[in-house]
Amino acid sequence: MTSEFSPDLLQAPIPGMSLTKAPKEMPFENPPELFKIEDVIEHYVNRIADPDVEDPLLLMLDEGVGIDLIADFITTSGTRNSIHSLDLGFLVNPVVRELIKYIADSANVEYVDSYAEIEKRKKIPYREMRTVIKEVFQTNPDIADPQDPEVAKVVPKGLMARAPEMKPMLDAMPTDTPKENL
Amino acid sequence: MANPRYIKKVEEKVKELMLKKPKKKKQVKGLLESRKEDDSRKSMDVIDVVAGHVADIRKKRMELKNDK
Repeated sequence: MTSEFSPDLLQAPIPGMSLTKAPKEMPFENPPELFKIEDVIEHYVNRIADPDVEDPLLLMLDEGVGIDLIADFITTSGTRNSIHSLDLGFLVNPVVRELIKYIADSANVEYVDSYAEIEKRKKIPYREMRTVIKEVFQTNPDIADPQDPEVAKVVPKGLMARAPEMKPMLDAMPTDTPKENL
Repeated sequence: MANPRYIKKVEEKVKELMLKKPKKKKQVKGLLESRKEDDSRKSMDVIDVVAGHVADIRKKRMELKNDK
């Protein structure tokens, strides 16, 4: 009996491979450099105003990346590089956002604050939508399509509700259906 | 991602700070004149610190927009 050798097996990590590096070799394994919020804010003020950082930042804004995403990325990378802790990164986030807006305004670059916020603003609350559909249906019933599931939800269904228009059944011509089918 | 509740709190504080007019400093003469500002009087609340910085940058932004 011969077993087939798969070359993909060689791509897998060797067991214990993650333990082969010396401890504290990676920056995030070491204690952070800055631990005061004022120091972290100062660090970002100096860093973002730096022309080496400013150019790619403006390019990203021009491409349409949201400011909230860029700020998250900058603060998280600060944690990864052991400049500050993760909680300080979260706390400093609003200052970084404001700094990016300042840089964008000074360079006359249009920016998107947050795509999530835009989506939130576009969304109409169900309560308002329901009243609007109701009003439209009551004032002009021909416009609203009662077959539409969204409209069907708000169509009055009580005893006093207006019955949908139906063709009189008596006017219908008798059909010659064979008795077998009945 | 930053906590939306925290950002909301900071924004409220920033609005408060933006509406506040800058206080005039009292002139102190005599021995107290040379005394440096006491750091312990400053607020230690994180939201106050962050909101203060955000308000400063926002004021500069508004100045920049008004100049244009």
